[in-house]
Amino acid sequence: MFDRLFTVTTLITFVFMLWMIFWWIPIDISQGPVAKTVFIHVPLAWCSMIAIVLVAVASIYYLFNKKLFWDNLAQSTAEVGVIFGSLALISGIIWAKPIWGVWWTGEAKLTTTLILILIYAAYILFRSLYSNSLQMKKIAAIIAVIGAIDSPIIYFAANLWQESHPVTVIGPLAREDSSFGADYGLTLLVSVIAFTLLFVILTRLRLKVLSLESKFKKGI
Amino acid sequence: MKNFINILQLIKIIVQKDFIEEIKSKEILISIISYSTLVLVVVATTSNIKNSSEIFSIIFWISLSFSIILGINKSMSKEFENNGLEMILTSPIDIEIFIIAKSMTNFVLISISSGIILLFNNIIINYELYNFSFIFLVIIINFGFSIIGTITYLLFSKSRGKEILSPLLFIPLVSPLLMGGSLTTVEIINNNLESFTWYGLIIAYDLIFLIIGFFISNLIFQE
Repeated sequence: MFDRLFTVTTLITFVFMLWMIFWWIPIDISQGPVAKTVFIHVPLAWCSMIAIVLVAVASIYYLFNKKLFWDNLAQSTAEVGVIFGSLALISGIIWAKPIWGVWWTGEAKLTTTLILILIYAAYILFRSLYSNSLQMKKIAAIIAVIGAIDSPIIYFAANLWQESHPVTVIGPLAREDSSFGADYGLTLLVSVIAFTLLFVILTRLRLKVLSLESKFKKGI
Repeated sequence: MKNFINILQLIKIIVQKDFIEEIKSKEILISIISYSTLVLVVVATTSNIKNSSEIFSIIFWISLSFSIILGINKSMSKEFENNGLEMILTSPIDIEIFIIAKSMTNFVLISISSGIILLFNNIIINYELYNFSFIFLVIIINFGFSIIGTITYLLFSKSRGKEILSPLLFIPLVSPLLMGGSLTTVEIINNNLESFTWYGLIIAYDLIFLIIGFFISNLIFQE
């Protein structure tokens, strides 16, 4: 019942978000329609950041109490996080071409995001190559924690390296006021909520599959 | 104090063992230097740039980072031959000491190799860079390379496909060092080194991974 309600809420939020993006808010004067990718790019990046934190927290818990639930949670969030992170990178590239004139620059935030995706790709690949043992889960948890150490670098990257990526305008580390109007801000908030709900649904689904797999293996 | 001297003694024994082996076989140095020379030759034959300060930084760090993967893999795989690592683990030597000793060996070998790679780079690119700031930069980056390389190899030591997994984790983890290395090298070349922020960041990054190494060493080998 709860799952169904959650899914319906997510669906409604998504439809509402799409209406806001494509009909409600006006087209940005300086950047044109491409400015609207921000409503996809920012929530995806936000969810991948949540994923990194969750993977790290679950991995630390697993290292301390060795409960299978935490390992499964770490794996499911890592997998969903890699997908969201990759999509964030792709949406960023789509925005960069018309605005910066290039698909990719050696800019620090882009590069570090790519680095983080590669670290979690190594994490997922390692899990599939190593036999399903306690040792594998432990080492995977260590890799996840190491990967999480790199994630603050991503958040601070725009401020540290000060290159062409837009600096942080939202949150406690914001150094500039946001140039967004109230309508843009509201749409961004709704899209962040919608994508976060989607992230939760996908992670819960993957977690369920992993738990069933573990139970099945135990049964054998 | 006595404990500390004992630890240093143990590190010295492991490092000495590695050096005696390396002096006999010369496998690690030869593999690092020959691989990086190959990268240099490929760049020299595929580009028309014969004297460029800009390309110097790129080639130097590419050849160094890729050849180091080979060198560290060689150095670490020796420990797994004939169950060498198992024997060390069953001896009264702490695993933290073993990791420090292996990192030290890798650091010295990488530093010797990078000196020779720098010499070849200077000859092939026709650009001379013997500067204290640059040499110090190479040393602190090499320190990070050796710690991260040792950790990543040990993480995947028992896994299938470790030849793919080690570089897949090593290169992303050392990329902040490479970013700092390439940017600072260009600043040094252009006589434009205004701040030492990158030096601080690189040293901090090295220390973070040294601490990580300490924490995870026991976890890696716990059965």
